[in-house]
Amino acid sequence: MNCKDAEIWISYYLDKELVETDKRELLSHVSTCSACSNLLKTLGENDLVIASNVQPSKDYSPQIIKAINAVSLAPQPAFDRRSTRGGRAEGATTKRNSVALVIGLSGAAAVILLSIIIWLTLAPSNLESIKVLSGKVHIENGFAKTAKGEEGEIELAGGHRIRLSQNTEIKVEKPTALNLNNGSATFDVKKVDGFTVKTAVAQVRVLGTKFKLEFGGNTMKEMMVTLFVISGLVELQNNVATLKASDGDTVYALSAQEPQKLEEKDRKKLEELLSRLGNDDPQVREKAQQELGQFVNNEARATFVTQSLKNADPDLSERLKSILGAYKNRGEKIVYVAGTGSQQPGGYEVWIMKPDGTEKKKLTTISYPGYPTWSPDGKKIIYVSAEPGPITIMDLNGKTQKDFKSNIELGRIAFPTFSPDSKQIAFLSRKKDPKNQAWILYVMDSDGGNLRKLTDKAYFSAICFSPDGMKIAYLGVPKEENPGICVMGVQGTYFKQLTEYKKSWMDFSPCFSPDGNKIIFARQNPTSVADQSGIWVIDVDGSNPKRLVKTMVIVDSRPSFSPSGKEIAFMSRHDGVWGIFVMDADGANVKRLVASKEGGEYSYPVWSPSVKTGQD
Amino acid sequence: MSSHEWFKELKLGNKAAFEQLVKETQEMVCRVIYTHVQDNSATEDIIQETYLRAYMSLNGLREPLKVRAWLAGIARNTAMEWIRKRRPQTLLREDTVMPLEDLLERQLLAKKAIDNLDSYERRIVYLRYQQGMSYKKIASVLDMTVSGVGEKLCRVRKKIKEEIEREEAL
Repeated sequence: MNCKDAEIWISYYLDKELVETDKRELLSHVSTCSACSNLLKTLGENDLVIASNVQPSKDYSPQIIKAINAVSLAPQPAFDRRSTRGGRAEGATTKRNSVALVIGLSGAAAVILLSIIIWLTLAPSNLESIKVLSGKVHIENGFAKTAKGEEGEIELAGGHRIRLSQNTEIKVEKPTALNLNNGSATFDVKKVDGFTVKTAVAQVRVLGTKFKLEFGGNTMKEMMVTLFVISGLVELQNNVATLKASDGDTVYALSAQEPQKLEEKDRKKLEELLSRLGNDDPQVREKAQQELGQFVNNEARATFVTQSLKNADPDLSERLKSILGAYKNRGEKIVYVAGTGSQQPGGYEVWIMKPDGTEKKKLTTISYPGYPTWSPDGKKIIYVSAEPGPITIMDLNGKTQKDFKSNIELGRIAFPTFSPDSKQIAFLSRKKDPKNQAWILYVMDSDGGNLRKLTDKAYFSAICFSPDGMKIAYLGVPKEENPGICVMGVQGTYFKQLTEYKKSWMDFSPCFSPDGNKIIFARQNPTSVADQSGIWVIDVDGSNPKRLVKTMVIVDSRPSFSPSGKEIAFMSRHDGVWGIFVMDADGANVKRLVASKEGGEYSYPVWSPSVKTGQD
Repeated sequence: MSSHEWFKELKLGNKAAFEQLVKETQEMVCRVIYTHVQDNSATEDIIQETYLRAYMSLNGLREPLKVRAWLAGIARNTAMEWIRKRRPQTLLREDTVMPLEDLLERQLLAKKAIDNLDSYERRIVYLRYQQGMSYKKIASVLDMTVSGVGEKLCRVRKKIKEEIEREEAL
């Protein structure tokens, strides 16, 4: 979200017209953007005054004089200063006890806390026990004050530390109570609902003043997040203040008890991961990185770790951010072919969707396009149009950018694939010849020139460039009746066969992992499903073959790594219904994205690449 | 009667002087109370209560120039008390965070800014803020699209904010 969008979203938010997900996004942006944070505060305050732009419905003076006469009131002498200032609210003391009091008032448009007092119950102490730890804090008569431009930290009996920003006044009214009058002070905050965040910074906005409540302990400040409680009601009971948002959807607790700490096991885990991330052995680092990815396996947690670290340990924060950045770089879209199988328009079309299965979008209306895959910048899709048709490149709106009609004379064309630097395109081609089932693997420059034949001993199957662009994996038949996954150098000088046909099964659709060290492929054993069939992974030297997922049947499957290498998309009849699936790279968490009941068959899911800089 | 004499009379509980005070300050008092309670009928009750209390505490009034602020303080406290009674589980503080003078000034500036809006904008502000209508409802009343209402309110907010800031800078 950018600040421009935030401006209108804030308006919607104040009017309670923002949906929940947008609200979270807005508040997340506001928590990191001081400009938008200020805008929200100002507009919230303005809303309150705009809403109060009312006129008395009549002249009240006659009725008031009448009332004064009726009750024979007379001005009372001997008022103390307090009542002089403001007619002390009778009974206001009745419930003033060890807990605190806060009041929130709702505005018609925006509900903003009008006033807040937090009384924190501290361990029994006396007023002299206020100790200035740092900064300029003036202690007198039970008050701790900072002037404009000054700030500091104090410690009260019981070890409670309070950080005071400028213009803050804290009154220790009794040895056991603390009254936050103005400015900001720090306390520890525990969120009791929603995210798993245990400690946090809460900014409680009130009319005219911002209370910034921060995690009070001095340990693991990196686990803080900023929570904006810009509206709602705060109630304190038993030393815990509960903030309820006006719409009741968020509940936080401000604890006046011992500062909350990061759970010891989480803290240990994080520290242990970080130390392994600094290890010299790349394998150890990679493993730790994966685990860290799992540790912060959702965006909320990742944001939470990076944001909170920013203050506490900028260096660590930067390191984590880059690691998490790589983790999050998972590819935006998956392209696939879907349809009923009919030869009519709409029978088969190229679609894209998000890796979570949402935002499906149909790109073609030509019927029977085939073998779509991405350009390395993720902005175009290369496919074979209206089979048997030419290799075609289109943008993500389905608009054709370029086609290679001259290649039609090569015969049927399949699996056009960009090299990682976008400079070459490899594809398979075959002329109708019942006696020869083999396909030819061609490579050409991406402008269509410099066409060259790499091998004529290929089979019909997806092909894949290695990430360094030096090799191509394909299904080859180097020896008679012995097809298998092969890797060939793009100059034709390197060749290695990784798997071999064993009469009963067949391997196909190889795909390099993003680090180039592994290849995944599909294996099909029509005679015995339990035996061998599934998605496999193998090292590029042909060692360590391992079955990741067992499937019933695989046809036209094209397992595809996400750019991070952490997930694999594939097509399968995994549990009896055809569809496109995503799983973790180790074969866990198989998840269906689309199912055939949504309209026919699905094939060739290919994950969009991560966008690399310098390519456009 | 000079203002000095008026103030002397007021402190003594002269009802005519007090009536004048009510006439001059009721609009401000009404806004202060409404800011807190956001409820028209409650505001009416609290206005009366405020002036009764004010009358009782006239003796404590010292500076003629601070009559309005003094009254605003009573209004605010009375409003707070009303809220506390409605929410017995919540305790109230007696003085508020935003200085009352700031609130009063902001209210005056906002009023001016709203007066400067065109009639269409004023109507949408009225429907949203005083009538508490949703975008959907406003859209149907004004024959607009829902997103049109959202954009309009965003622009109006911006306009009022800029107007207030411009005035504050003067």
